[in-house]
Amino acid sequence: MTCNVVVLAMGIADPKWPLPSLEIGAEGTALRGAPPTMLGTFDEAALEVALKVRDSHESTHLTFVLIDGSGSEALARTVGGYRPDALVRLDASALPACDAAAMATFMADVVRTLPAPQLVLIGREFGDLDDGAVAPCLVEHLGWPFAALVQEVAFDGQRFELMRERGTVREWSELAPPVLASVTNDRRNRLRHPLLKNVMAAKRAVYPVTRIEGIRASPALTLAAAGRAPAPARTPCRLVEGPLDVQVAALATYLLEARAAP
Amino acid sequence: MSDRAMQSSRLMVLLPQPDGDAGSSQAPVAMADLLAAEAQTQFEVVFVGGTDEVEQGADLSNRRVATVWSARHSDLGPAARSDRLVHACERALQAVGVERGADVLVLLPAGEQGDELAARLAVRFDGVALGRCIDIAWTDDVLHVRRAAYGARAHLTVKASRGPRFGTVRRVERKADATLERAPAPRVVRVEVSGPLPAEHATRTAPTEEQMLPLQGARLVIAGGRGMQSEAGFALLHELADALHAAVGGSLPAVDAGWVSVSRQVGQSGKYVSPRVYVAVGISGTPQHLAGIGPHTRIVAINSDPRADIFGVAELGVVADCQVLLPALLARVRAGVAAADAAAPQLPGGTSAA
Repeated sequence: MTCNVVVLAMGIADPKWPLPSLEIGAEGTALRGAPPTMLGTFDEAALEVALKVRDSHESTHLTFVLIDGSGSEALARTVGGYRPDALVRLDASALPACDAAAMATFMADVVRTLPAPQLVLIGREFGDLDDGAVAPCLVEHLGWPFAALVQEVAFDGQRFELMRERGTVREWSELAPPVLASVTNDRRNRLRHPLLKNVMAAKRAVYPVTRIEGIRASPALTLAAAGRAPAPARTPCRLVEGPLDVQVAALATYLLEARAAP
Repeated sequence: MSDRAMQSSRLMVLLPQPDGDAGSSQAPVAMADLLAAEAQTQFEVVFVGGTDEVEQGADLSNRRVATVWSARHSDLGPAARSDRLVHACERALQAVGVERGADVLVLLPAGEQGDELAARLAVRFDGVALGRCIDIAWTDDVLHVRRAAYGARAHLTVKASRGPRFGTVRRVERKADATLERAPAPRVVRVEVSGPLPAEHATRTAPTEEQMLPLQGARLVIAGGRGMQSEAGFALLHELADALHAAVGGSLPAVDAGWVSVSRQVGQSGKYVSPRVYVAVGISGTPQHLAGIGPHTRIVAINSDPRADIFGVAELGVVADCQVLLPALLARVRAGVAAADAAAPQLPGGTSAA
């Protein structure tokens, strides 16, 4: 049985670089200034989970859907280095990225156009503007079984077993396809390094972008302001100078007082 | 802010029965109380659960609560997965008069459970998913919500022009100008909710290996980051936490490296903690990480890089290689704890009062 696995990702702006100034588009939905240039931690985790399913089930067909707004060629080539069976690039720059419900409506339409997906994986946060709402909104549109914050997925040819940890409990859920799972970061799903020959092939490949026409921005949620977050207000730091034993003594005193405080 | 708009809109806090990391119920209650105070109105609280004790654990004293709806779905049971709980919450909100197009703001606790439920309910009621709200205000008759983006490096203000609106709250940064001396007791209404729930699917569980103090509610948190360099380095943090009765946390890179469980990740994408003291070891202090630490928490920073951003927010800092410093600190702390225990008066039975 072929296992059709789909990964949905948007990428994030590289956190190592300062944020450029952010501008809101005239229609109040698009945010310009910091295009996605790399896969986020959760995108990478979703991709690694998909690759592990492909490793264990050789008739897996892996489709990577990259919603990359302004069009990051480097992002597509990064994904291409993992040899997905299909890489779909969508220019959805008109999408209201701040509106998780509208984003999910669009993505549900995309998923429905793919041939019989059985497992759709999405990072627990989607892009730079999401804080975890896109995946739960998406499952409401798809009406599928949903597992949130998954760390590991196994497929026995019939059913998926999805593992996640919650506090001191590890939980495995057995679900029949089609299944939507949001994936969180974990040591089990750190993205592997791609093979060099695949990286070189991806550099030569052409990944055409499909422009999605007719996206209607939701009038329900629009951007009013965007800017850098204010620095947290704290008291000035007292640096403990001197040799190691002086530093250790100061720290130990501080921590023991904190331990003893009522 | 427009009092008129706020007063004509219903304001609710939805508190589902906790499941795993449910987040603190106090944050959405405090935010609703603040909004109610600003508009000189009151709000409603909707408890949803599967038992008769659905209101357990929520403190509503001296809050501007008009009505407490205590909704019980007998098929839900004491613990329910989110796909069943979202059905029960939908039915409960319908039972208290929330419908598609309703001018209502519904707030839930931020956390795995609340974030998921708020988003799913927004779609079910054809409403607006506000996400995790840092601040909420009515301006020119429109609800404005401030929230984080770009790993907490940026703040966005979004306008939600229609309801129903669903959002989650982690903490409240502002205080109401008008404090409440003594609130009248709210009206309490029991609601029996019915209707089929999705079937339970096959699930098995096993305890994880960790036996440490939970992050939530810890007075002292010892957290490590990329600077710990290895799992062995993290083991020292565990020992230090043991000696200090502290909980262990980690930054996103430490979780990625597999040195600490994802359930102990602190930050915008992880847990929100507000201990008295937070010891950040080998943590650079990105906005992503700092977004998970309460504003009143005193931060102690240990980092080999004197330019690390963490020193900009720490109360006490030490520039040192944590691989060298931690063993010495652990020995000193253990000696201090032993001395304190020895000096403490002995209770009957031989236990120490320290």
